[in-house]
Amino acid sequence: MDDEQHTNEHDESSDTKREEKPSERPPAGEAVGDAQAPAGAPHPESAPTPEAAREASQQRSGRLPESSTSPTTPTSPPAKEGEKQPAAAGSARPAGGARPAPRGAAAPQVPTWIDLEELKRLLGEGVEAVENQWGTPVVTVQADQLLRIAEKLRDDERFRFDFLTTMTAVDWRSYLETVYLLQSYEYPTHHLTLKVSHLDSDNPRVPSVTGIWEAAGWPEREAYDLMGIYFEGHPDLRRLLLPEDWEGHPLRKAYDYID
Amino acid sequence: MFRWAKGYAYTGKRLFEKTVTIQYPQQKPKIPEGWRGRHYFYPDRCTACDACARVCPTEVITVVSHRDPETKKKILDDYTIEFERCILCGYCEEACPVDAIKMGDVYELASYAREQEFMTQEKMLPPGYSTDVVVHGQGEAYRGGDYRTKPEKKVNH
Amino acid sequence: MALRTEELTFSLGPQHPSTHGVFRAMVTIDGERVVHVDPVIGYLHRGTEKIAEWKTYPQIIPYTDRMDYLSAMLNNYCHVGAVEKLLGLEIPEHAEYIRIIVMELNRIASHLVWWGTFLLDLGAMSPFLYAFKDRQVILDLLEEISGARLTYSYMRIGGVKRDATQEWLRRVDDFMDEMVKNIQGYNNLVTGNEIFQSRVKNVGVYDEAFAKRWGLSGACLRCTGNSYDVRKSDPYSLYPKFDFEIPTRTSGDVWARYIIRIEEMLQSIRIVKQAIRNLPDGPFMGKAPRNIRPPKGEVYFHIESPRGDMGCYIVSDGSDHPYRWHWRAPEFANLAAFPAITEGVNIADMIAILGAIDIVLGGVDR
Repeated sequence: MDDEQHTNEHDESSDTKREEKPSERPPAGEAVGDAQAPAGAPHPESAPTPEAAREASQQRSGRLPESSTSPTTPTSPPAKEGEKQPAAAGSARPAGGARPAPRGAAAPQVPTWIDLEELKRLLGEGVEAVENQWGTPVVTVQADQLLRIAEKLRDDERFRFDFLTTMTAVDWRSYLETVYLLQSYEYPTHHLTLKVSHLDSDNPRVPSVTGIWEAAGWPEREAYDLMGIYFEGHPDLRRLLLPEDWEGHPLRKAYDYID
Repeated sequence: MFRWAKGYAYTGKRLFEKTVTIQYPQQKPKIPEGWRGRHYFYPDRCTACDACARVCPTEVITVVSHRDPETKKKILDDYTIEFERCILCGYCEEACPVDAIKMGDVYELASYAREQEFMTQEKMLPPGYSTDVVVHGQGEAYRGGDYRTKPEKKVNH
Repeated sequence: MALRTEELTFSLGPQHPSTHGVFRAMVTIDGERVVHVDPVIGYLHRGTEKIAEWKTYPQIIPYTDRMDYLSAMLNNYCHVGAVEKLLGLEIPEHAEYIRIIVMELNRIASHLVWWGTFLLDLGAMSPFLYAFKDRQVILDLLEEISGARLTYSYMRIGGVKRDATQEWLRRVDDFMDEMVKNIQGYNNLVTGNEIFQSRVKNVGVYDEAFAKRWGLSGACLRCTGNSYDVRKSDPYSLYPKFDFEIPTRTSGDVWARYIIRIEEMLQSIRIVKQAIRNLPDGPFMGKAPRNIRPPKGEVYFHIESPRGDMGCYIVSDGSDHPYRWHWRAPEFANLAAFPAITEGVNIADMIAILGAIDIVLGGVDR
């Protein structure tokens, strides 16, 4: 047997969990900090813009900038360090600045193709929040403005988000959220995440975007199937993956899957 | 026009190649080193640290142990794998700090009943080991069946 | 006098060989013409997205193997890459090169399966045998480095599981030379065949606007003239360092998709050979935290799988398992356009179109 070889592997392998000293486990920020890479951008979209430099310097000092980028974000108390399960209420939202930034200047932490303020201004009314997640602008919009903004994102010269890569939903226990991951065939490095948040868990209704991107057809059926979200105006809203007589929506957090 | 003739020529050429298939039950395939087959378990090496059980994605490994009241060291009582749910990912092998569990070269995994897929220490003994090393510890050992009655493990959820 | 016709609805699959797994299509025909197709999927739905919410980040890797089982290496990489993006890890170059070698080998193996089974759908038996013989060599190589034949679980967060030996690299290099010759042989056997060409040319034609509307990617998009390939368009890993081309065609038919995939194999061979030649020394595993606990936030990471744009969307709540884990399967999006492509075609052409989409039901249903 290859004992020596295996032992060496073991020393270097990182994903094993050791049993000793459970208290050793550091909070996420520290854990990453240990393994922090030297500056040197691994991702090609991290062009050194002045914006990026400013943001990065603020990150080095510990925190993301105060939510100047997302003034309308519903201010939620930052989640406690080491909190395992997200709390039931809105504090479970991954607020971009709630935690110290995980790493230094190397990460492409701001979208390089557009300024978040400008994005908010261009999209007009109905935008609830614009935040930055690992270089991707995340735009939360009101449900009644979704179609207008989606159409603008698809057709506007500035955006051209004609590629709906996928559409999904997230159950935040007290409310649901639909997520549209947009991309552009014309500018392939541009990403944008569109969201409709705070949907009522008992009767979630969102206008369907199949009229704008036909690619939304099956993903919306999947979200209906697994999350129970009703897409108003969808031409063929049936269950997709589960049988027609299935009860419940398995991707809901409250779904009882044992029995 | 006669492009189809090229196809015939290619088939004809391949006709005289060396055979690549093997006559399986008579001939056995060569198993590369580090291949992930059914486990071998070395009871004499195990320190009952539970690392394999916690890293296992399908949670099929059960380590039963108790603490020595004097030395405070963990002593192995029993070690079982519900092999029918094992996905042979090899994480247990990587997690083990003392190489007590290794992925072996056993690939003939079919059996006649589900119960036979429940791996006890005896079934996982590596070649050349006698059954003397098998640990018969104190306490209740998990013997398979309903996974909901399985003893609670320290899984990081 | 007009013939009186009647529509007939029948079920294709779920156990039909031409449906590549357990895919069922409720087909309504009028004579030889397809009136409407209603795909029924979900026979392989295993709820991986739900399972992933209960597993730690490293524990998800074996589950990604089992989604699109023909490109397990790339699935591994997509998940691992998303987590690395969340953590902001830097991967040693040596590890990244090995990743590219195994990913491109896996891409060739996947295209070989597609090539064999697609021609099997069209009624050609022997290409399937040749393809699987060559694929077996690749699988043996990957088996040796990862320890399993299909479900590799080879990628790790921060690197790869094992290092490649010089001997292994040499054998990969030798086989790549052989593979170039084999692909030439495939072209002699099939690509030049007039019967085959008349079977696939001008079948299942759509234009670029159609492909964009339906969110197609991979060869299904590049057959319309668009050169969108994530490796070039939105580069990840070390692909910008490699010299390769993205084959495109403009005819938008099954033939174009066929030629693109054959040429992609040759490009993958080029990448593998470059990677072996330029492989730098270094560790195969970078520094990664023992307990993977990414910060709060959400991330989308996408790569070019053999079938198109594959993406992994992770919502992290700061714990060691994802809060939500969503997979963008390219074949899922490509298959969604299947009813629209097949409207009005002949039944036999429908099989050719389905084969050219290159579906793997493990990926569609997840």
